[in-house]
Amino acid sequence: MLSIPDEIQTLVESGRFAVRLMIRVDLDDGPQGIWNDLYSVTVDDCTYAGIGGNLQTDAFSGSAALDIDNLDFQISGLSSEAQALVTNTDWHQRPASVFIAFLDDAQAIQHTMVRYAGFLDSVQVIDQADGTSLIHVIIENSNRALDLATGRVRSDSDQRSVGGSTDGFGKYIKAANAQAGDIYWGRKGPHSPVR
Amino acid sequence: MSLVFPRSFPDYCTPVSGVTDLKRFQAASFDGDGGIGSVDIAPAIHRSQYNITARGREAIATWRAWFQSLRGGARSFQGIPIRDGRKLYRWPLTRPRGFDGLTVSSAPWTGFGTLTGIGTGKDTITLGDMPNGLVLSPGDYLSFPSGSVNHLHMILEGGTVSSNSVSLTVEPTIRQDVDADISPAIACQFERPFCDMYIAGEVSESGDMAVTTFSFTAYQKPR
Repeated sequence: MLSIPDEIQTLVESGRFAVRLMIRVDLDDGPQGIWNDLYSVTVDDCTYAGIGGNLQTDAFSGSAALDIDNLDFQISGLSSEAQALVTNTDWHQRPASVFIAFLDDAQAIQHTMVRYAGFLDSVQVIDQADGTSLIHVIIENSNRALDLATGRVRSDSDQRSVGGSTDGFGKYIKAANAQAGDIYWGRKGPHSPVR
Repeated sequence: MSLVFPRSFPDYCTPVSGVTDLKRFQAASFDGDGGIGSVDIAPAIHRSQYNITARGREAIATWRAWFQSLRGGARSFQGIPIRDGRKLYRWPLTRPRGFDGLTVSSAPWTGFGTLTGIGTGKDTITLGDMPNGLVLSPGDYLSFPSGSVNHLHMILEGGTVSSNSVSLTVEPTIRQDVDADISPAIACQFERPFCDMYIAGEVSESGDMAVTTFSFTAYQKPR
């Protein structure tokens, strides 16, 4: 059930409205956004580059059981705005949100509401002859943070966020270095509630 | 002589038939109360089905050469809408033979007006530098460049130019990033207006050495 303000409901009932999807990724250097209209627009300090039909998302799956349903979306690999999301930047596990924007029939944004929140988990760049150049992005649902007591994940950047910039996952791979520190994963660890 | 990209639509004396329409992207659903809910999910773009009938070996070869010149994967070109299903749009309905005799400031009119204002609903525009007495009717087209592409709009409610100015209602709505106040002013084109298009799918060719028809579908490249 979507909760829509009254003035938007009026617009919806008169049939003269449009919706667009906005995807925002909070990278270390600031938020980057794309949306499937044609012009750039700034909402809440994030500038969304208009990439038109070069953005496709799969269906949003809602769940009452706190399942971790991913959201897949494809963006054109040839669009510089799409490349800006993932090229030369640490994108892994950065917060990503998908908004629905309600537009009136003059194509101006009247309302935005968050539809999906999660973390950028996987980015696959696909190029093929006589085929499509696309970037396939998977956003992991933020429900994952509920499944893992600490919200931590098995990644290099996660380890550095705990152990400092000189720490990292690679440090613990060799057996000889195994005593360098404890790796906490899943429900066990100092951040977990005492059971 | 070198080729200019995007390629302009050839002005050969060749019959062109087909249809140009506005492709909207809308989803509809039935509401619980029995009404129909409908939503626009993407900006509308122009779509043209072109059937070009070339007569004679020379015309056929010239058209083939033009199709060959569309380099690049998108095969983009400057698409001109089709009028009455049987010819390329050229001039407004009330000026079937062109703009001869129309003047602005005592100089012959070039077919370009200036965008001087956009209404708040983004579907009405005001134009300046227009020749007095010119009548623009529903169904006429105009185009103007903005950003990296040309925008094409159909006139829904026309008018007669007076004091070198006219207000029109157009469809699709003017994009939010088009600014009528920028300098230099945006020039609106009334002769052979066009938008940037690309060819979707194949160009089919049928006929013989005397008469050959090239058919293809093109979609507007909105950005």
